This record gives sequence, C-alpha cells and structure tokens, in this order.
Amino acid sequence: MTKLQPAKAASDEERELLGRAASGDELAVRELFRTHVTRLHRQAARILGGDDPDVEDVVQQAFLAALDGAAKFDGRSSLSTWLFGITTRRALDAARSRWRRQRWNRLAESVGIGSQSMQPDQGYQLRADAESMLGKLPPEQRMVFVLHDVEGYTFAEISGMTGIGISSLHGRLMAARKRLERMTDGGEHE
Amino acid sequence: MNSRPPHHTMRVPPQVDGGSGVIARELREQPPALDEVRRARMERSLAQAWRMHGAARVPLSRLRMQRPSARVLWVASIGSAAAGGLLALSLLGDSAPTASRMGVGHFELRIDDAAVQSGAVSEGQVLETGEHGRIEVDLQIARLQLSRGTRVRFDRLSEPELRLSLLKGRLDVDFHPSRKGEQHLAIETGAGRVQVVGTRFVLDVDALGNTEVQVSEGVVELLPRSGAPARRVAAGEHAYLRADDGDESERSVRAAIEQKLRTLEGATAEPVPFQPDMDLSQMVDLEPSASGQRPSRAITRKLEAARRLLRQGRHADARARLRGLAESGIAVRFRVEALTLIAESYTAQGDVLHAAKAYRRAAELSPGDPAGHNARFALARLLERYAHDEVAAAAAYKHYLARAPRGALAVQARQALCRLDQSEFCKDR
Repeated sequence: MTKLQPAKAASDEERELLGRAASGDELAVRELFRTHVTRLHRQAARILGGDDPDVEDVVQQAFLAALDGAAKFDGRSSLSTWLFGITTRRALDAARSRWRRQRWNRLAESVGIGSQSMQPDQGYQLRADAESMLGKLPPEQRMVFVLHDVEGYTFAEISGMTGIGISSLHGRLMAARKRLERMTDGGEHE
Repeated sequence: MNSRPPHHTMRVPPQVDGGSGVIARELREQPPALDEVRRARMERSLAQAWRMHGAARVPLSRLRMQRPSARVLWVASIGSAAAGGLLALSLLGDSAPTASRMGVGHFELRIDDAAVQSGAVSEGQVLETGEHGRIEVDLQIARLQLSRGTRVRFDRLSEPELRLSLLKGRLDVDFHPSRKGEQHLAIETGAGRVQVVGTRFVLDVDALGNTEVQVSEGVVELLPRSGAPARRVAAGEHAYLRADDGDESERSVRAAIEQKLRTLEGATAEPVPFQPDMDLSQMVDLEPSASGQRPSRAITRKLEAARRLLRQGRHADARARLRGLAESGIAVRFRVEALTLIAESYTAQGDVLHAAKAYRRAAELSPGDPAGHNARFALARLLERYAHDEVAAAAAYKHYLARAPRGALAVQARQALCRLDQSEFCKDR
C-alpha cells in the first residue's frame, strides 16, 4: 500500500504557473489543465456520477474559479489540494441542486410509478452497480464517503475543503456506510 | 501529455469490512475514466473560455488591491419550480455606485410564469439567470427577456442610449423608442455589436461569444469585432457572427464547409438549404433503436417542424425547438433524435465544438442503446471529417467499439481506425 506522507505546501513553480495562467498565458492555462484534470475529473465524476453530463462543466467551472481567484491562493496547501477543494465544493453544489430537483422522481420510484435508470453495458456492471448505489446517497453522505473511504482523506482535510464540521462529517459517513450496507444486503430498494 | 504529474499526498483509505468497504474498493479500483477526446475538448474549451473572460481581467499583481468595480447581481433559481421560494440573491463585489448610474430599470425573476423576485437595475450591474428562472427587465423604452443560463451587463442606462453586454445565453429584445432616431440600443457580444433603432429580435450568445441574431420586426445592424463590414439583418432573417477565427482546425473546418456551401449555391438558385452530412445520416440510420418506441403525433410534428426550419436555414429557431424536445420528459430515443438534429445544425454552420457537445450529450443520454451508439459514431465522424483531428477521432471510434463491439456500425468504425493508421484494426480487411 502507498506510504503516508505529510501534505506539501505549494512550490514556487506551482505558484508561478498559476500566476501566469491567471494573467492570460494560454500555454500556462493548458499546462495547469493537463496537470490536474484527471484527478479533478475523477472527483467530480464520483460525486455526480461517471456518466453525468454536468461533470465536464463542473471541472471547467472549477478551473475558471481557480484562475479567477488565483490571488486568493495562499500557498499553504499544494495547488493540487486547493484545486481539489474547489472542485469538490462545485460538484457538491451541483449534486445538491440535482438532488432537490429529482426528489419527485425518487418519490415516484419509491412508490413504484417511476422507472430506474437504464443499465449500462455488462462490462461496466461492477462499477455501474457501485456508482448506482453511491448515487442513491444524499450529496453530503456521498461526498464524505468518496473523500474518506475511497480517496483516503482525513476528516480534518475534508472539513477544510468543505467547511463542514468534523462531527457532522463523521455522522454522515456512518450513515452512508450503514445505508450502503443495507443496499448491498438487498434490504433497501430506493 | 507532456506535463508532470502534481505532487499529491499519497493516502491510505481505511479498510472497512462489509458492503460499503466492497463499494469503496470497487470505486477505487475502477475510477471514472477521462478519455482523450473529452480531455482534448475540455482543454480547448477552458482555454477559449478563459480567453473570452480576459477582457475584464486585470494583472495578477493588482488583484490583491483591486476588486472589480462592476456590481454583480446574481439571480439564481435553485431547485425546481416548486422550490420557487428558495432563491438566492447575492450581491458581490464593490457596491459603491458609479457617478453616472441611473436607476431606470426594473427586473422581475419569474419561474413558471410566477414572479418570485423583483428589484431595480442600474448601470454596471450584471444580471444572471439560474437554471430554472427567466428574468424580465423593463427599461421603459425596451423590454428584455433573459432565458435560462443568461448573463447580461448593463453598461449604460441613459435615456438617449441603452448599452448592454450579452455575456452568454439568450436575450429576447423588444425595443420601441418613443422618439425614433434619438434613442438608441446597442448590445455588445463577444463577436460584435448589434445596433438597434426599433425592432424585436432574439440574440443567442454561446460560451465563446459566437452570436446568432434572429430578427422578427424591423432591422438591426451588426458590427463584427473582426473589422468585417457591418451587416443589416431584416425581419424574418437571421445572422451568425463568430467570436474569433478559431484555431487551425476550426479554420479548416470552416473552409471545408464554405466550400461545400459554394458547391450547393452553384447547384441551386435557392437560399442555401440545411444539408447535414447525408452519407453520415444514412450510415447512422443503419442501426435501429432497440427501444422500438413510436413517436406520438405531437412529437413527430415537432420534429418535422424543426427539420423544416433547418431546411429553410433558420438554425436558431430550429435549435430552440429541438432543445425544448431534448429537455422534455419524452422518451429518450426522441430526445436523442432532437440532440442529433441540433448537432447536425451546428455542423452545417461550422460550429464543430457545439456539434460535438450535442452528439456527446445524445450519447450520454442513451449509453447502452443503439441510438446512443449512433451518436457516439457520429461524433467520431465529425472529429474525423470536420475537425480533422485524427487522434480524437480514433479515440472516439475506439470508444464506440468498446460500447458496441458488434454494433451495426462496427465495421465502418474499424475501417475508419485502419484509415487513421491504427494498424491493429486493418487485420480484418
């Protein structure tokens, strides 16, 4: 397993790259994008769902917000962590908004008048099942489960990224795990 | 990719037993993938969006001391229409008024025709609609309607002159001055300026600033930023202004399409009709939909009406109708069909970026269905034929084959990959 290392502060190189990108240097914008997009896309996709059409928009908004707010980057954390936090908050906002909009659909499905979403191809079944179960969690539970149990962030780090208190995060993680247990046991059909 | 990976802190996720632990492991071992097509498209889109944003940018060294002077009034509708009460109204930036500002405007945010919020509009303000609301603005001599996802800045609100900037989205304008010739309305977009002397029209601006104007009454004058000659657009006509020349691939796409249009113009005296890639359409039609759903008469009529508009060259109108269908609750197959027509419309206008987005959305709407596979194949063909982006096209064909290895278009996809120098796909030939 990977070795635990302390978080690093931003290097001068990172700060310089961000500064150049924010000042309009397109090559720097592209380099920033190439360096970080895989991880940011993964995070947005985990919170919103892998096939969600809003994932790309969330990632782009996060990059634009970072470029717009480059002056606010104080360099205490790495650039990567800072961008990760912005993306997480944006994805969480999008997920919350969707969750509210879809509550009638969920209600309809729960009383048997709606239909479950289409199942993707067989080859994608395992991840699709996991994502499908994850998608049934409320956004805050989903977010803390992804960050803590999948990505390995500590509660303190997640709290720093999202502004949510540690005890709330802990409670939500426990609730998320319990609910996923019920789903895998077949005891919950939402 | 030639960039160095960032230095991440390596993390050790907790080992949790039971079902949630299995799910966490599954998600960790099969992370959501970002293919090269998406990556390339996102990179270009970001670079362009940031370039467009650049007009208002100040040097980084000044950012700490100076905040934007423009007031930004963001009216966002949150949640569905039923959640109309949950509106966020935030005032950002420096709120100090400018000396020349006049409070001559009034806005009203409406959700499903119900007014849920209102207020004054003054110079320097930016109004932005959220996902569900639309905003009506009364400027005494002009009425504006901001559709969903629209952002407008009010640059000048004096009696003889109204000047706005449409930063993105769709704006419906009804301008009827009480003293013709003395009162003017000008709207700036990323592509140029629209000057009005009294008329009704709709302006559509995408994220890059490309501008489409559809005039229903009177005449408007377009002044492209590129320095090209001003154009007049009369009632019943529409015009499309590009924000910039684009990069090399875009220019070659436009050149190819202009060549195609010239050929068509040579063949007929009629106005240039909508001409999707017929070869592509025929091939895509080869694969039947698994759903077997029949469209209702109403949907058939709507799709046919949109096709008619496309044939007449009224792309903006057609796309507006098709978007309505694509976003409605009708069966996925017909939403995919509407998105495919939107993509073909953008292709006909040389807007490869938006065409690709529409095809991608169609593919994502129906990932396990032949209609979705067709859209994925069409995206690959678009990248190959119009964007001339062989790397992206090859990745898109491979994506199609991964999802539909025995699909009706699999042979064509393999042939295309062979043509694109992917020798492992030439074995079957």
